[in-house]
Amino acid sequence: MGEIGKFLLFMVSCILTNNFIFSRFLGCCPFLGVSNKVETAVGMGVAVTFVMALASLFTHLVYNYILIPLKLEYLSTIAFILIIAGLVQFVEMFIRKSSPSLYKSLGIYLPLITTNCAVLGVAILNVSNSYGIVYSVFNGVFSALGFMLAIVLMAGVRERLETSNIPKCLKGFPISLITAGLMSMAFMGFKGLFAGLS
Amino acid sequence: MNSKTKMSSVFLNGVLTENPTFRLVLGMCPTMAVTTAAINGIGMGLAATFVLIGSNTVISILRKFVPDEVRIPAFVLIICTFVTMVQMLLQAFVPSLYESLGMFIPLIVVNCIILARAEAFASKNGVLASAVDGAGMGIGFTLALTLIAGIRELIGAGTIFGASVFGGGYEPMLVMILPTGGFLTLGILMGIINALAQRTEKKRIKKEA
Amino acid sequence: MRKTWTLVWKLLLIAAVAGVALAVTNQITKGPIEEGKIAAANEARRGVMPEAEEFEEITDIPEGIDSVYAAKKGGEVIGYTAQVTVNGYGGKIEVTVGMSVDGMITGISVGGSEFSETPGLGEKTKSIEFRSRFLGLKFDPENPFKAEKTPQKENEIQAVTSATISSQAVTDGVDTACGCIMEFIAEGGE
Repeated sequence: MGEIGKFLLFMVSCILTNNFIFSRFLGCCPFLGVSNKVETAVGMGVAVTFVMALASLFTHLVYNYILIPLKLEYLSTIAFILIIAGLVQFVEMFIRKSSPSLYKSLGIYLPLITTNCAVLGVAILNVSNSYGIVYSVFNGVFSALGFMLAIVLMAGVRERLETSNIPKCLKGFPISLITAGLMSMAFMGFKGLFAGLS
Repeated sequence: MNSKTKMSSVFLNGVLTENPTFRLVLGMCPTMAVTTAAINGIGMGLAATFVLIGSNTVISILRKFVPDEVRIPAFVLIICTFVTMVQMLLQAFVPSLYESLGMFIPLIVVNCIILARAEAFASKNGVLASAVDGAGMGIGFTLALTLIAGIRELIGAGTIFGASVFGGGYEPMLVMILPTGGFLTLGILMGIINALAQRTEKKRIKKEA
Repeated sequence: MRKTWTLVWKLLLIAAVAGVALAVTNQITKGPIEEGKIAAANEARRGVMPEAEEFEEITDIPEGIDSVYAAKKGGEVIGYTAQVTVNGYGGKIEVTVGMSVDGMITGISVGGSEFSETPGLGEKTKSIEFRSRFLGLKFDPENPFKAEKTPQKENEIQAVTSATISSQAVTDGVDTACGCIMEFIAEGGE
């Protein structure tokens, strides 16, 4: 299997087989919180993709070129969360100055991303799998795309759920969780892809 | 109300009335990810309880010292310190639990329960009350995780805390310890709790009428 | 301006205290963590090579192999362990094989940080039941091991029920590792 095949396999595994929501349980809070409408779900997805790509890059640089030489690996959690918080803040300011219209549609999601465990999760995964810089960034991008796929699909289902007749006690979170459970069952079907491709 | 009953009501508030998992719906990721076996549920719950008590206490002590403008970064810094301590202690002294909880230990940092309690309770209340609130919320979280994990382990593997319950004839329903089972168990449990809450609410209204 | 300074020094003070607290915890836990890691790694190798007293890493190894250790007892090489990574049903699987110098498999282990075979199905390749099916077998490069539902020949291994792909992946890993060890045995057999 050549480099390209390996890369494709990596992409499929990030987006489908090891989907952040359905198989790793990362980013469940926004997944349940911001999936009422397809439009907002797309907005959240784009914002997360942007931040996760940047966060993967910067955490990789800081971990490998600052923390390891100084033997301060045990400070990685603190360093990562500070980088992510700073990054979110910076992206917010940048978008506000450069493109007010984009800020209008993405702005409200940005502060929520700091506490999205998908972002910190991808940084930790990159380190624990000791990915190189290229794979780190692509891991960020593809995992975020997987997250976006999940949240947009979920929003589509929930828009329909709004108008259907659900038992009162299941309204809101319970029915969303059950829906997510059924969706994750469907995503489990992708697992065989890994064996098929390799 | 004397101070003793007040403390116990703060404690029970976290365990029952405002149970972080079932009532506040906070910290969903670890709730579903680590609850494949009851022992993991307890481990995760206790780790989070330790962080909650520690961060709530320290934040409450510092509540007058920390300026309002930078309180969120300061809180995050304090929480992070406790989480890293838990991570190192677990890795050193309970490596098997550290292995099975994996990356969800550092992710306690972004568990919304902890920051939410810091912001909503510890930054406004005294040290003792904050510590008790942390303990209550932590125990409530632990109980919820253990309940979910117990159900999943029982149906999905036929065991409780690793001990076989049904004997050899039971064919475990695997789907319960897969991610799917996490979503379904939590969704159905929450539905049951809502139904119970709605029923008592109805009774109360009837009584009053 | 003065207000900004207050903010800065207060935050820095908190950060400094946090840093000191962590440095102290790190000092306390560093020893046990390191010991634990070495013990776990040795334990894993001892699991596939129970008779060995110590292990020595061999650095000059062919491509496609993660690591090879020479297992020693009383200063003499009694066998080798080799670790390879294969693609399973859900992700990567690390397979470690131990083989004594007379070519007999002394044990295999299955796992790794990215191990994500389906719990209850492919995950059972980790079980002692499946792993023990390789025990005591001799590897023949002409007829490598195969995972089969109903094994008939000597080189066919009983696959885990409903998990043929995971079983085959592990078996392939065993084949690669065995092939590599055989070469070391042939070289070091002087």
